Amino acid sequence: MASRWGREGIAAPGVRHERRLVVRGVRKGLRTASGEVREILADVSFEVAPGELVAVVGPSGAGKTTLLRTISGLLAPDEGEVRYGGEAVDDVPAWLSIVFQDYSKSLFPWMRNLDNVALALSGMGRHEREQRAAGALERVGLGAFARSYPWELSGGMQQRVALARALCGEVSVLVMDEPFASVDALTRTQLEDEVLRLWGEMGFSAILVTHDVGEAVYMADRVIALSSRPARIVGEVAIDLPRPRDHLATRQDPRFGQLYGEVLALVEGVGRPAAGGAPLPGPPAAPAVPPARHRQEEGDLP
Amino acid sequence: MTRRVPRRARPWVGALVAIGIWELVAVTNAAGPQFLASVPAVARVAGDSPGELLRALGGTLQVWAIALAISFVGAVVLGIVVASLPLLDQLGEWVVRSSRSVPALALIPVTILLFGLTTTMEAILVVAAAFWPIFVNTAYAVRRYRVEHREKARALQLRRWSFYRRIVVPASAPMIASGTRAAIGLSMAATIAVELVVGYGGLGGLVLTAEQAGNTPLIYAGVLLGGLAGWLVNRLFVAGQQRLLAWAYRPGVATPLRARAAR
Ligand SMILES: Nc1ncnc2c1ncn2[C@@H]1O[C@H](COP(=O)(O)OP(=O)(O)OP(=O)(O)O)[C@@H](O)[C@H]1O
Ligand SMILES: [Mg+2]
Repeated sequence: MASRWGREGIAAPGVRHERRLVVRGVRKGLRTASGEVREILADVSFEVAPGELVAVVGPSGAGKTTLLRTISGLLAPDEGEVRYGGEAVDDVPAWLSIVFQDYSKSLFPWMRNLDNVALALSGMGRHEREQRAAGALERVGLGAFARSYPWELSGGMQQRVALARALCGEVSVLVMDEPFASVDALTRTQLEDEVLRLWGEMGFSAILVTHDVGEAVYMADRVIALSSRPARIVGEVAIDLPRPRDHLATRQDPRFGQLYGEVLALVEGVGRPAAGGAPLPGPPAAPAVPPARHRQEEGDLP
Repeated sequence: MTRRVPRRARPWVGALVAIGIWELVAVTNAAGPQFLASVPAVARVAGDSPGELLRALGGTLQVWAIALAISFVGAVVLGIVVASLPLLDQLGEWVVRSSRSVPALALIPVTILLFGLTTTMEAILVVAAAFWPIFVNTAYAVRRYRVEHREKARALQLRRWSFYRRIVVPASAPMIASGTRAAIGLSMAATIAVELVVGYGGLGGLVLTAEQAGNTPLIYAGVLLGGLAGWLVNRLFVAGQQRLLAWAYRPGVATPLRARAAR
């Protein structure tokens, strides 16, 4: 399956992946219903290296979704800029895909899964579009459900369809807003591995917003912690756990526990001086070089 | 006692009881024979002249269907356009609100004045009766869903045309369908009412002629046939709705249809 995908594939490996995503000095205020402008993002800057997987954690209401919408070009920043390579990111560019938190709202119930996925493809004949969409569904293990409707699938399966849709175009940056928040814990670990596998195979850069510190540490190359609103970056932790990662082995690694503690301290420290004990990492100005990527073999998957 | 009658048979029992009461009133002559025909008399008339009745029904259905089709296309297209252009929507707000609360039948004198007792006049009234429920529902749904789905469409880089064709219109379809269902009843009533005013053609014409001829059973046969036809059309429409919009009536989604079925 993997090799087949590689050929028909969406992004032939390395297509646009030499570019960095740069978020610089982004500020954003949103107007509330009563008319006043509320500051949501206060000066957020970070970079995502080509092929890097960055997790963003922060308290509820911090502005994580607003940050993702700004990065994706759904919202224009009031100040600062988002650039990809040299190109400014406005309106959602074709190489950027978004997975929203609520799959039941991101899939359209009147379309079969195949059509839901194919919706993301344009500029090609219907036949080719359907074939690529079918390939994308196969890739997430739902080849047999192309002709079903989303509401005939379980929540985890629906999120897989959403993932297939996000990954069926020529994606170089995948942006995920708490993509596993509304599925059960077991499905969640499966989906995490699914995303890691696809990321390993396809080589896109990814930004993952999550509430779950364990998930952030398990998946990411680097975890960025946000303060509560207005959001600014309070620190970041480079995750030097080896890949491929595995729920049993990785989460039992003592290093996992240390990193978990570091990230948690950053998040918990929000709003009060960082409690002693957890060492704060260096300034975010020097982003860690992403660790060498290990292709996750299919055989490794549960 | 009620438990012995199976659930599915109950409406039939109710109908039989109603017919029984009707017949009882008729044979005891409580209402007077010129006012209420007996059940066998109505059945006899229907058996004697099925051609005349069916021709009348056909006439009514033809006017009704053509006018409904015109209303549907016009109301859906205009509803989409108006709801998509905020300026037009705001300009039209009061015009729409006041126009839709005028009952179509109240326009009869004006249309007669303008067009005389013509087919044009009939068509305009029936179109007026069917237009507003479809228009209002379409506009409401499009207003709502073009905002609700805008961000997702942008995330998918959909062009405006695909956005409407693939997202906004399908999302609005269930509401358009319920508006159409309301329009079916209203326009059927308007068709027959207009025939009664014009005095010829269709079931209305038949009933009016029968009344002038003192043929009470034929009046009842015509009225019953109209009711039956309306019921049948409604049933067909609902069946089509459930088939074509199955996604909107999927398990776990509350809809008027489902609530009725689960009654
Ligand atoms: N359209 C809006 N207008 C005004 N304020 C908004 C709007 N949307 C969000 N906010 C405010 O912005 C803040 C951040 O919202 P956002 O959805 O980005 O938070 P979040 O970090 O994603 O939260 P969660 O973890 O709960 O999803 C919240 O305090 C919210 O009240
Ligand atoms: Mg959020």
